[in-house]
Amino acid sequence: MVVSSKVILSSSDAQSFTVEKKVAERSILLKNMLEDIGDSEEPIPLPNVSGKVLKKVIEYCEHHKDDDPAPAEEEREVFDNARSRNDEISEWDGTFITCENEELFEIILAANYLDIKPLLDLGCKTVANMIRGKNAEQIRELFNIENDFTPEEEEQIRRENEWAVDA
Amino acid sequence: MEINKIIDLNKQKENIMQDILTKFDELDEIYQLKTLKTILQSLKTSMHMLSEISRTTVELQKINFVELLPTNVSVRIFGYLDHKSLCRATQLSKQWSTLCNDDSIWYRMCIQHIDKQCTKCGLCLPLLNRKRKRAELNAENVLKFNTSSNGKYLMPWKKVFSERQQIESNWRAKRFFQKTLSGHNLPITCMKLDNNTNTLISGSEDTTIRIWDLNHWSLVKVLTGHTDTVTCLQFDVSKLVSGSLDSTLRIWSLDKMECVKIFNHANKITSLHFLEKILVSGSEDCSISVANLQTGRCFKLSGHTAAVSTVQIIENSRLISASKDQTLKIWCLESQQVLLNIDATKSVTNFYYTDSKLLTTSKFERILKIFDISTGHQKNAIEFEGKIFDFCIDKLRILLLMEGSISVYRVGNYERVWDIDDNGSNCCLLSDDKVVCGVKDVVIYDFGVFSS
Repeated sequence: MVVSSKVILSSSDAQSFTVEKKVAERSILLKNMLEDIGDSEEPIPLPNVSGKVLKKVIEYCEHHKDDDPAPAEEEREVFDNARSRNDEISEWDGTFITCENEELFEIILAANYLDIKPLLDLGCKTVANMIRGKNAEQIRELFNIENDFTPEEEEQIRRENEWAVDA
Repeated sequence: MEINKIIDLNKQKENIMQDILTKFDELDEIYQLKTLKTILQSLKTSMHMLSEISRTTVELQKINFVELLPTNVSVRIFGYLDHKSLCRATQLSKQWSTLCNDDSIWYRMCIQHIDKQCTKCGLCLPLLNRKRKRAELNAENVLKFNTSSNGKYLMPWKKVFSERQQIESNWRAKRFFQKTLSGHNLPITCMKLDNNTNTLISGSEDTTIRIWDLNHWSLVKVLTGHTDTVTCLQFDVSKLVSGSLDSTLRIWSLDKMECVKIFNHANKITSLHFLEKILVSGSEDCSISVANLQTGRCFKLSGHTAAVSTVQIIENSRLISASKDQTLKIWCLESQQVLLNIDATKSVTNFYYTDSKLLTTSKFERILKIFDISTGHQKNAIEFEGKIFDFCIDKLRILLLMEGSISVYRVGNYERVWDIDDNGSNCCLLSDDKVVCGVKDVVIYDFGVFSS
C-alpha cells in the first residue's frame, strides 16, 4: 500500500495541480486511467479542461473524497427509485455550484468528460432548477433561445402540450 | 470621386481592424485579457461605449446550453423537470423540443408516477389496461417515433403519460360525461367491466344478462335462460359465469354468445368468483361450492350459519367468504379447512381484498372496516357521512354507493373527490376512468375524455 500517493493533473492551459490519488479517483475516467498506467510521476494531461474549471472540479472532489462511490449508470434506475430521486442539493454543494452560467456549463462539461456522476448530477439539477417554474418567455430570455418554429409549427406544438397546462 | 474616397477610407479601417484581430489571436489567454482590460480602461471617459459593451457581454453570457452540451447531458438536465416544465420547454425551439420529448425521460416519468404515488410530488396515475402497443394503429406516431426491437412501432412514453395524466386531471377537475344505457326492465343487481375491451356485462332482477359495448355505447347481446334474479356474474376473454336465485350457475361462451353449461344447486346462488380453473359460489343455504372446471371435481365447504354474501379466491389457493352470520372466513381450498375466522360483529354485505387487507361494509352501516387477514384483527374503521349500500375500490380511489348519492374518495386520506346524486342504485363499479351504477338503466360517468 502506498500511503496517500499523489497525482499530477495538467489542464488545457498547462496549469499543474497536484492532488491526492483518492481525490483524483472521484473521476471514473482518471480512476480507470490510473489503474491502467499504475503509479507514475508523469502529469496526466486533460486537454478538455481549463485550469480555472479544473481547480473548481478539484475543490468539489476534495470535499467529497470520502463519499460512497457513485452507483453505476445501469443501477441508477433502481437507485433512483429506492432513493426517490433526491433532487435536493446540500448546502455545501449549493454554494459551490453558485456561479455564472458560463462557468456552470463548463463544470458540467468537465464532469461529463471526467465522468464524475455526482458533480454532473449537481450541475444538471442546478440547470433544471433554473428552468422549473418559469414561463416560456423567461426561459428564452435566460438562455437566449431563438424561436425557430413557423407559426403553424408553434401552434401544433402548443396543442400537443396543452394537456399539461391545467391541473 | 468623393464616394470612392469614403469607400477607400472604410476599407482601410476594415483592414486595420482585421490586423488587430489577427494579432489578438496570436496572443495567449493572459495577454488577451490584459489587452482587453487596457482597452476598456482607455474607454473610461466614453460611457456610451462602456454601456454598449456591458449589454453585449450580458447577452453573450446567456448560453443556450443545448447547443453547447452533448445530447446525453441535456437529456439528463431535462430528466430533472416535472411534466409541466417539460411541456413548456418543448415549445421553445426545435432542438429543445426534440430533447424534451426524449423517450427515456418520459419512460422514467411513467415509472415514477404510474400505478404508484410519486414520493416527490405525490402524483399517482392510473395504470389503465391499455397496452403501449396501441399506438401501432396510429400512423401519426409511427412516423415520428421509435420502433421496438421486434420492429413494431410503439406509443411514445410521453403519450402514455399524457393519457393517464389527462384522466387524473379530469378526476380532479370533475370533468366527465354521462351516458345512459337502457334495456333492463327491472333493477340491475350485478355488473362487471373489462377495461381492456370496454365490455360491460350486467345482470338483473328481470332474469336477463346484457352485454354492452362501451366503445359504441351499444347493446351487444341479451342472454336469457335464468328463471329468476341474476345475483352475480364474472367474465374473462372467453367465458361468462352467472349465478341466480333460480339455484343455477350458468357458463356462457362469449364467442358463441350462448349458454354452454348449467350447474344445478340445491339453493339460491348469492355470489361467485372464479380464478383460472376454480369456480366458487356462495349460497343462501350457508354453503360454499367449489368446482374445478377442468377436472369436474366438486366439493362443498360448510361452516357458515347464515347465507353467504360474497366469496373471493385469493393467492395461495385460499378463499375468503363473508356471511350474514356476521363472520368472515378464510379457507384453504386444498385442505378444505377454515384457516381463520374473523368476527365482523355485523352482517357483511361486501368486501374487497387488497395487499393482505380486507375492506368490508355492512348494509345500512356508515363504516368501512379494514381487517388484517394474517391476524384477523380489525386495523381501522372509517366512518362516512351516509349509509353505505355498496362499494368498490382500486389503487387510487374508493367508490361508495350511499343513500341518495355516489361518492368517490381518495385512498389514503379518504378525502371526498367527487360525488353525484343517485336514486336507488343497487350496485356500483369503479375503474380507472369510469364510475358505473344504475337502477334499471346503466349510468356511466366517464372521466376518460381527452382534450385533443
